[in-house]
Amino acid sequence: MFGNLIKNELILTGGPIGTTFAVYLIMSAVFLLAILAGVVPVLAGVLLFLASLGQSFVVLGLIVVNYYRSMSGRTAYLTHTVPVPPTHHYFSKMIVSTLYMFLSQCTMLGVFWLANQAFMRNGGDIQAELTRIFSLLFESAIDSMGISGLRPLLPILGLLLILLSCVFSCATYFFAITLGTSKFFRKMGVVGPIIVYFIQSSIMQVLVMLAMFTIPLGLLISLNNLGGADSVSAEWVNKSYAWWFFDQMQNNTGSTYIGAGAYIVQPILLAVLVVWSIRVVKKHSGVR
Amino acid sequence: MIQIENLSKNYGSKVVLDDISATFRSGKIIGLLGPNGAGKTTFLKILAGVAGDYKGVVRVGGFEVGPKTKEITSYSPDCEYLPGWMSLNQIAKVYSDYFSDFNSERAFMLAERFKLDPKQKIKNMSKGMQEKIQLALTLSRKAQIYLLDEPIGGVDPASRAAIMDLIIGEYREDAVMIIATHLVSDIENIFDQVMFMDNGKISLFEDVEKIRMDKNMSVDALFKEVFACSAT
Amino acid sequence: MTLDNHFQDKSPIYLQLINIFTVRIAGGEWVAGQRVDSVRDLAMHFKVNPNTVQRALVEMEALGLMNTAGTSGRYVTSDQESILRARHNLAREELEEFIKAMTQLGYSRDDILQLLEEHISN
Repeated sequence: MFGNLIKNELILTGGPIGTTFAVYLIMSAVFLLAILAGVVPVLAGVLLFLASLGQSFVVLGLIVVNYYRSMSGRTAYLTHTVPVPPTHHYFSKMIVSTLYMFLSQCTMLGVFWLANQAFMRNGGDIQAELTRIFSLLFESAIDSMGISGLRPLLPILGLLLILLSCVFSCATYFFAITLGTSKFFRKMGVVGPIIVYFIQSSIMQVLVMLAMFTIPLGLLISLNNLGGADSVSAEWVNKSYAWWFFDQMQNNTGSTYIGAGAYIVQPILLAVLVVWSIRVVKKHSGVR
Repeated sequence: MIQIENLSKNYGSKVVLDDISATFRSGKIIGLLGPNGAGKTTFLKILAGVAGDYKGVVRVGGFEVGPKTKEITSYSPDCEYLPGWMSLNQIAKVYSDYFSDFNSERAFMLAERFKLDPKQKIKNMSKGMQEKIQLALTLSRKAQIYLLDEPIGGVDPASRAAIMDLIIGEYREDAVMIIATHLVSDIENIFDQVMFMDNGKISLFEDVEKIRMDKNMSVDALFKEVFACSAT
Repeated sequence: MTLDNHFQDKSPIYLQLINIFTVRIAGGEWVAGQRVDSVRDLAMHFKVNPNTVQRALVEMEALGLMNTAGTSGRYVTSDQESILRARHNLAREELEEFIKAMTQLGYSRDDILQLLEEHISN
């Protein structure tokens, strides 16, 4: 049954999202060709960037609207008469939406990479220079984080991070809709989810910042030369970000911290969002 | 088949269902009658399992409302709930996936009887056509509980006759049908029992033939008498 | 819609169905020994509850105008005498109604007979 839910969820959102991808890919192809041919390459680059941004917003919008409609709107009547526990709906939508969002982000990255290649091939002009600077910055960032040993794993790591961020944003939006259409907010209509979203994301920001500054766990990075990070070490230390400020005031070494508390708190917040959403979905008081 | 004990539900401070208790047996067609806002729709939503957060006990086929009862409950709400961009062809596939008792040949046969095009998108259909599609889907399941909310509300008299034939034709001794409507006179003869609802309470639950025998009046006449007072 | 689903408000549907069925049998529309339509078909035809039709049919059996032959269904009785009796009963009821109404209008026995004679020969 869960398989059927996933299948129909893929079909339900697949149409409009597929169309969006198709339109985006056609537009990208045109702009990439323009860059390659050197016809108004700057304009093409800007348009490509805007199209990419637009695409990811449209996909996000479709995901959000679909969730709202099928969990709280009209089609919720069909959703909630299906003989499965309500949590199955939540998880099937979570999986499919995350997948589509991930595809959207990956497509965008792919297009950016192609654009990069196109600019490189065109060569010699400002764009290529910019691209080179960006990749240099990227390299040094990798070095400074002390993860150059993990180089071959980097693409996988990157994709994993993107996937996680997709899970996170789906959980966030679904939470806002679920709670925002529940009994307490039902009179507000569409405003309910928006209010919940803003309150919830502000609270999350604050919590993440707090965790970063107060949890005594950080990544110590010592730099020998500020400009070129040639000799770099990184190690875990039991100090919070607040300690770093303190150290700075004491005016000692040139080493620096990254507060790691945020990375510990974020999965916890994610779990809280999911569990809370499920609790509300179970009562499914969101059907109008 | 359905046991309800002390069922109450409120939306905020508004009480929609007020301490309702009732029992519905198999083999009966029950008319749920009352003015708008009496609580009929909420009552059916709770039985169907699309509205939670109520007080009291609701048992369908011996189980608390949940996945088990949804398996045997076929529900047609009073609004258009099908995804607009889909056609009957597509929705029938979804129904087959979700409901093991769904018979798609029957759904197409009924659609043909209603002269509906299975390729037409729902959003391009009139309200009456959408109601017919919903009813065709709902009555193409071999369920034990049928919950129909205003099944003849938006259709012309000729279609009403066809819909009533459909309901009578689907009647089985092992199933119970609850039909909420405010169009009493058109449909009252197909009921075994009627339940009058007013302000979230049951004001009458009686055999139709007994009403005619004891009161010498039709359900429609009684309905008008009862609710004329509450309307003024 | 057919005309068959206009029922009176004041008496139970099943009694009205019995009356309709009896008229059909007595008038020969349903002939002796004929198979009666299924409960579902009759319910659809008259747009009434199947249980009500069932109840009326059971009463028809009790009146001796129908019988069930095992599982093969329900038939109009082959007993001509019962049918004739039912027919006479219906006719008598109609006549009684008619005479009552005419008497109320002040017609005498001879007046009624004369009027009847005239109307029938027309």
